[in-house]
Amino acid sequence: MSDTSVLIAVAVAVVIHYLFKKYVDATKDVPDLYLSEQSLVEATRLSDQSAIYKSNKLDFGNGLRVGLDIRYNHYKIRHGNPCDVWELLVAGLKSNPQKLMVLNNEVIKISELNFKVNRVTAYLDANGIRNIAVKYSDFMASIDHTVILFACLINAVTVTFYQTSDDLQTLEVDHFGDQLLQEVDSILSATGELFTYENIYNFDKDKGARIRVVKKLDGSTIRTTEYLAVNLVSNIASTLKHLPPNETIGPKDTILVTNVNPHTSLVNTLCKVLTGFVTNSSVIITNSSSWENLVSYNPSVMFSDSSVYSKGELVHKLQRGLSVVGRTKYKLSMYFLSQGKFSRFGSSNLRLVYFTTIVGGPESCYFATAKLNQLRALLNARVIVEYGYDNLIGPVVLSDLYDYRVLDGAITENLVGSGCIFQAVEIKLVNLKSDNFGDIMVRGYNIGKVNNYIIGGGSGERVNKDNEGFMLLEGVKGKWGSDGCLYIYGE
Amino acid sequence: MITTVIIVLVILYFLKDLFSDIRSVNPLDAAKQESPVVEGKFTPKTLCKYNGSDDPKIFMAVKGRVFDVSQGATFYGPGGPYENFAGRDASRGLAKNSFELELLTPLDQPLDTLEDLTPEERESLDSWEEHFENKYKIIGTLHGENEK
Repeated sequence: MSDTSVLIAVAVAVVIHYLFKKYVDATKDVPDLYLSEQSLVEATRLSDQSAIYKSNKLDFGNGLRVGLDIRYNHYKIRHGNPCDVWELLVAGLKSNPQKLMVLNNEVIKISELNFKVNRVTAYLDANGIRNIAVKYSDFMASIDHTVILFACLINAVTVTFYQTSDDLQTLEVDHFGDQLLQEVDSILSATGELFTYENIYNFDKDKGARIRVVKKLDGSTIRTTEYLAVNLVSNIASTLKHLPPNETIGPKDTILVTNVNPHTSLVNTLCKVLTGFVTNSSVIITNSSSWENLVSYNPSVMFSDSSVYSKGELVHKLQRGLSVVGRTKYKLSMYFLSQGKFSRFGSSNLRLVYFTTIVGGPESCYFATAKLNQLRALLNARVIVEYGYDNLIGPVVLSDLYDYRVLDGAITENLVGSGCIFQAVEIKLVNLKSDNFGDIMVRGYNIGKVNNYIIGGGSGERVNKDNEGFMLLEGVKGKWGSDGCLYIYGE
Repeated sequence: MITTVIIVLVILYFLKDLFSDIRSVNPLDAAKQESPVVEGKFTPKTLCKYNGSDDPKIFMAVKGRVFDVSQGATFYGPGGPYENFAGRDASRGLAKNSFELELLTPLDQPLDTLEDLTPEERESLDSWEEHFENKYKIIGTLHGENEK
C-alpha cells in the first residue's frame, strides 16, 4: 500500500473518530450545566454560615416538596395522607383487578388485602384502639402483620416499633401487635375481595403520629421518633419528583423493596412500599439481601439498602460472571458513561436501582462514584444512592439520575455521603471554618420529631426551636461543592 | 518517514482521548465558589449595587428593612415596572404609589424619615410592607452612611 493510501486511511479514521465524539457529546443525557448547578442557593447568608441550599427540581417560590398536591373543594390543594395513598392503590384495581402484592413467599391480591384491611379498620374503630406497639422483627414479617400496619396507617392509629418491652416504659400503648393479631385472627382468616375504598377527607386524617420508632441509646436513655402523615407523603412526593418525566415510576413497573434491617430503616421501607402504591406499580417486599434472590423476582425498579451493595462486593461479583460478549458491552457502556451518556446494552427488565444508607449508622457505607458507574454498566440500569440520617425518612442528599461524574480521589477520603438535596429538605452549614467546612443543619418535612427520655426522668426534644427548626446532623461535617452538591465527611 | 510520524501522532491522539475518558471532577475546588451576601446592615451605597444589573441579586428597602426580591425579578429587575426601586429605599414611592425617580432619596443624602406622609400614604406603605413580609425574605436593615 502506498503512503498516500495510508494517509487517506488515517485521515478518514481521524474524521470518523471526531464525528463520533461530536455525536456522543451532542446526544449525552444532560448538558454539563445541569450537573454544575444542582441546587438553588439563597442570595444571602448569616455570618459564619452558608446560604440555605435546596433542590433545584423544586418549583421556585413554592417552597419545599410537602406532599402529593391533591386538589379538593374545586380549587384547594392539600398534601395528602396514608388514606389517599390507599385510595390510589385501590383505584388502580379498576384497570387491573388481579393486581398482586408479594411479601417474601406470600402472595396476596390487592383486592384481598383491601378486604382484610377494611375489616381490621372497622375492628380498630369499634374498639377505640388509638395506638399499638409492634416489635421491629414483626415489621412486615407476614401478610397478617402488614394488614394490621396498613389498617393502622389509614385509621390514624399510631404504631410504635420497639426492640424490647423495657423500651416502652415511658410510652402510652393501648395494644400490642401480637395481642391484636390474636384478636383479629378470625377477621384475617376470612377470605374475600373488596374493590372499593371510600375516602372522605377531613383535617383529622392529616394529623397525629402514624409511626413511632423507639430506640434504646444506652442503659438509661430511650429515643422516640414520631413520624406524621406529612413526613410520609413528603417523602413519597420527593422520591417521585426526583425522577424526570421519562423515567418516572408507573403502573407498568414492578417495584422490589428490600426489608433487611427494620431496626434502622423500617420507615424508609414503608415509604418505598407506599410509593409503589401511589404509582400503582406491582410491589414485592423481601427480607433477602442476596442478589440472586432479588433479581429472580424480575423487578424493574429496586429499592435496596447498603447490605445488598455489600461495600462494593456486588460489583466484583457481577464482573466475575461476565462473558466475553458481556465484557465488551460493559466496556462500551463504561465508555459512554464517561462521556455523560447512559446506554443499555442488555434486555434486563431492571431499569432503576436505589441504594439507601444511613450516614453515621451502623451499616453506613459510601458508594464510590467510579463503582456506581461500573454498577450502571453491569446492571444496564440507572442507579441512585440515597444518603439518609437516623430520624429522617428518606435521604438528606442523593445522587442525580444523570450524574455519572467520577469524583477526584483527593476529595473522597473520609467522604461518607454526597449528592444533591432531597426535595423535602433545605440545608445550611453553620460554624463555617476558613476551609468552608461546617456543621450540617437540616430543615424540612421528612424529619421525625425526636424525644429523648431518661428512664425515670424527663424528656428533651432534639430539634432546637431557637434555631428556626433546623436540626444538626451529629458526627459529620459538610462542605458545598461548586456544583451545588453537599459533600458529607465523617469527623 | 512523514507517514510514520503522522501515524504516531494519530495513535497519540487516540491514546490521549482514551485517557481523557477517565477524567475526574473536583467540585470542592474553592477557587470556583462564590460567597453569597452576608445578611445584616446595609447603607444606601452598599445596597444600590443589588439592582439586578450590577449584581444579579435584587434587594429593596421598605421602612428600614431590606428585602431580597430576586424572585420577583420580572417586577423589580431591569425592564420591570418597579425597576427604579431595585437597590434603593422604595418607601416613599410605595407610599405614594408612584415610580417617579425623584421620590427616591439620593444616595449621598440622609435616610428618608417619611414624617411628612399623609395617613392614606402611611396606610398604603403599611400594606406594601405586609405584602413584602409575606412574600420575600428580610435580609437586613437599612442605615444611614454615618450610623454605626
